[in-house]
Amino acid sequence: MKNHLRGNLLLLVFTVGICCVLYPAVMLGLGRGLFPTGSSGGLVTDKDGARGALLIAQPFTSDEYFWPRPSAASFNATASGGSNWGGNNPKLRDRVAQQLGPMVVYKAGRGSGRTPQQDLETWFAAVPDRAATWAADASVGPANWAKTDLASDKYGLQGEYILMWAKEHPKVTDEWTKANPDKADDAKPEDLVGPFFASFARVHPGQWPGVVEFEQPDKTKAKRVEPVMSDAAIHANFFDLWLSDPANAALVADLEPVVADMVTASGSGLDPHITLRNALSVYQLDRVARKRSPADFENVKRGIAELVRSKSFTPLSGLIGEPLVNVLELNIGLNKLYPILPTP
Amino acid sequence: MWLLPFVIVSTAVLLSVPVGRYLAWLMDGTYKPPALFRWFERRLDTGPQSWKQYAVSLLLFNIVMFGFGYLVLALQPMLPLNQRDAAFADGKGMLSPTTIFNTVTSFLTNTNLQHYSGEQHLSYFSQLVFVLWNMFTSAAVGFCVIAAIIRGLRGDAHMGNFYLDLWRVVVYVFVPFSVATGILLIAAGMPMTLEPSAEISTVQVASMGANDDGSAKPQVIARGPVAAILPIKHLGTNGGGFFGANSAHPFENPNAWTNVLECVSILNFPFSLVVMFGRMLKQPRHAAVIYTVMMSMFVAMIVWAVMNDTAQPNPALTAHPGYTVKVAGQPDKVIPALGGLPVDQDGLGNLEGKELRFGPSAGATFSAVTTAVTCGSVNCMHDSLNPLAGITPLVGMQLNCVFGGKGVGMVNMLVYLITGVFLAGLMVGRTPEYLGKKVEAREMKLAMLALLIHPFLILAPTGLFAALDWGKTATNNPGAHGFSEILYEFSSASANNGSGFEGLADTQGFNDPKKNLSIPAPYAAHWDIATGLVMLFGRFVPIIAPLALAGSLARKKRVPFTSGTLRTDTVTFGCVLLGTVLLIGALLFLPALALGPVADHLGPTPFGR
Repeated sequence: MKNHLRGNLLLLVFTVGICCVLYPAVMLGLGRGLFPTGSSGGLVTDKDGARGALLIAQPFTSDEYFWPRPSAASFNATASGGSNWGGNNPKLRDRVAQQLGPMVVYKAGRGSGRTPQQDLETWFAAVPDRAATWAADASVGPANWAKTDLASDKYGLQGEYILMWAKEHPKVTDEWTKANPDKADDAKPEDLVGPFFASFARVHPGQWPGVVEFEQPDKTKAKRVEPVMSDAAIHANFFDLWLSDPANAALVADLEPVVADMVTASGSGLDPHITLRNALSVYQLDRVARKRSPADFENVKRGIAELVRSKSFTPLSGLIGEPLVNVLELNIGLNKLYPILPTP
Repeated sequence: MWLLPFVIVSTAVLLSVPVGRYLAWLMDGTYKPPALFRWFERRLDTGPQSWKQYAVSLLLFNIVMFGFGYLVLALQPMLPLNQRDAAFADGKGMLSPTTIFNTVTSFLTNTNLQHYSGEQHLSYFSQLVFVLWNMFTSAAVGFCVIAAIIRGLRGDAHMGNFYLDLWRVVVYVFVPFSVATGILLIAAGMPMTLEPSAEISTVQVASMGANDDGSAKPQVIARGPVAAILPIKHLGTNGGGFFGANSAHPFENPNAWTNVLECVSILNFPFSLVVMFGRMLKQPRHAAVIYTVMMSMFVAMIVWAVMNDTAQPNPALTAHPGYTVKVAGQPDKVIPALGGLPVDQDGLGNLEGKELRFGPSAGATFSAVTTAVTCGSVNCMHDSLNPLAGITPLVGMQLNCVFGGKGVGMVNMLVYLITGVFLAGLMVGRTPEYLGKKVEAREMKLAMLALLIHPFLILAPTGLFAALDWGKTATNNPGAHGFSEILYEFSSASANNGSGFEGLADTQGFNDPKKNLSIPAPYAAHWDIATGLVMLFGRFVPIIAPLALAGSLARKKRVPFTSGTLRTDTVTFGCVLLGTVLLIGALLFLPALALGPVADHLGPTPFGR
């Protein structure tokens, strides 16, 4: 037994000394000495300090910039992770459809001569209670709509609007109370979203409760919900239904496809790259060029495309896959080449 | 698409021969170290051990590992190197006790199932002392077991000395390989620093949002001594990530070359151990047969995953026909057809949960690599693999002998081997023999114990959790995919793998609920304890039983080799072995797979709209 004790204790001391002190110290020394920048995270700095890490995706949302892949981690580089949604998860399809709806365009020279969004709105208005059908059938979108901007216990404009509507139209709550007689709590907006849209469609057929900006008496701007005919939320929420309606098949066939990496979330939520195809597509390059120089669009577009190509590389020294671009590096280069126009 | 897996597997095969020879030379029993190390060895060597003494030493050392690990994690808030950053202004607190129990068992059993998130819940001290130390030692434990079993099989008078074996594996094998790999990883851009998280002001102003006072929020970027942990994480087939996203995180896997390096590091020792087995037993042809059998299953796993994931689009985005739901007593419900979304997935395959920089097929390949050898590291989110592709990691863990974990996989294969020999013996009506020793009732009982504990530990708790709220409320995906998540978690725990269908809600977080950034999962403690116990039994039963088996074979007289002896170095025997593994595997796990990934594939997709 004494032997075992000695063996265990010495083994503990020796291995902790070597594995947890000596070995990391050597690695720290080597890292510091040989690769000082990389070993501290590969940060990019300019006169204002650190502006990012080339390996870590940074969020870009405005039209002047190339956009990275969607991030299931909200680009939080202290909480990496993917969506972990399987192919059978309606949330995955809903997320992609929501992203595509307001964005898609027709292929050059094809389509109806209008935007897909205009076509979608016409389709939406053609049947008075599309919103009601959607709210009754879809499992993900309507509840998300009701919970938009939900922070701790406070609902956003849309959730509050449902509650307000329910007060004015008691039928909305009645249905829920009848279906859930044993619940003591009041109904939450997401519980009422089905009856709400049914009631809303009866009062405002073919319309949608959109979030609209308005001017208050004291000249400041605020937002409220109003019945509207045209709204990005219609494009986002009804894209999948519009697309799946056989009546629209001809139009749908003319849609310009989006490269998959633009709508799929990466494993870490911090994937710093997009494919070259994605960057050069009408969904990125055209948008960026139009914003950087509306006057000289064609030339600037060509210039930016050249910049994108010069920054692209193919993984494993060119052996596998297709060319990629680092979004942060590209956007920094873009700012140098075509500085953002001052807002008028 | 096929170049990447080919490069990875062929490099690992080429490396396995010299490395296997080095290992055999080291573990053969005649090795004399340089003078500096002899001083340490004299102090550690407690003398030759029988199988029982060897097993006792092993268990004692694992108790030390448990105690030491629990102490380090429980005292985390008080220990040094507790980095402070924007997310955790006063450093990391103590994890909940059940999570500590789960984490400690997980790391000492070489599983590295993580019910916490590295960058959120561990201080640099815990990473460097708890995680790193366990990665070195727990990997070496499995290594020692196979060495001891080989000594028993060849009839040595004793099984060696556990403490000496463990020291040799850690210091003469893992440390030098880790230093070499680590330098390459740092050169590729992996952080190796003790500085706390970096705060950067984003290029597009306020793209991370704004604070209450209107100032732009910075992006906070977690970093740390990543490059010290990563080499042994793979060489030791540990798989516990420094960051939550594991090897999908750009800091844990900066580019396509590091991805290849990490895959080869994972495969290196499990491949080499088969070579070592052949050399130590002086049965190279027998080892070659085993190697081929394992390799054929491994290649099949990779091909299956790549065919179903890289060569197929994500089904969530494609067109699906309509159908009618019929429930007795209710009106039929017609679910209309869905059109395909305008998404171009050509050449990219299913990209949800994948990183671009490793190239296509890297995620599918890695999923096969990491589960065949029970590493548990991931470079894509397995939960988002296409349903059929998800069979590859599940099968890898359920068979648990396609090379398998460091040492332990080879031990599992020995158990299948004994079973195969026994079956073949029954068919020809002779007492089965293996390596010139008679395989009798006692050996078969031990082999069956080691073999059957694994499916029991997977299927029983999967059934229990799937039937109760413990499992039902934890799943992140609907329908059959949710069942797959539960099945995966217990397969991973029992195989000591450690990867997961990570959507499963099993994280409790800190003991002090105020410190948690996300709400703890309702049944996290249940998951912690259940998987903790599964890991312990799944580790030690398949280690001790084969040790006893080898000890029992060692004592037997060698029977003469005659024309009637079943030869174990022929193609025929390879087929018998492969057939045994596949038959037993299919009988045990096909029903569960049919309920999980197969049902998931058959739809409906999406499941409920």
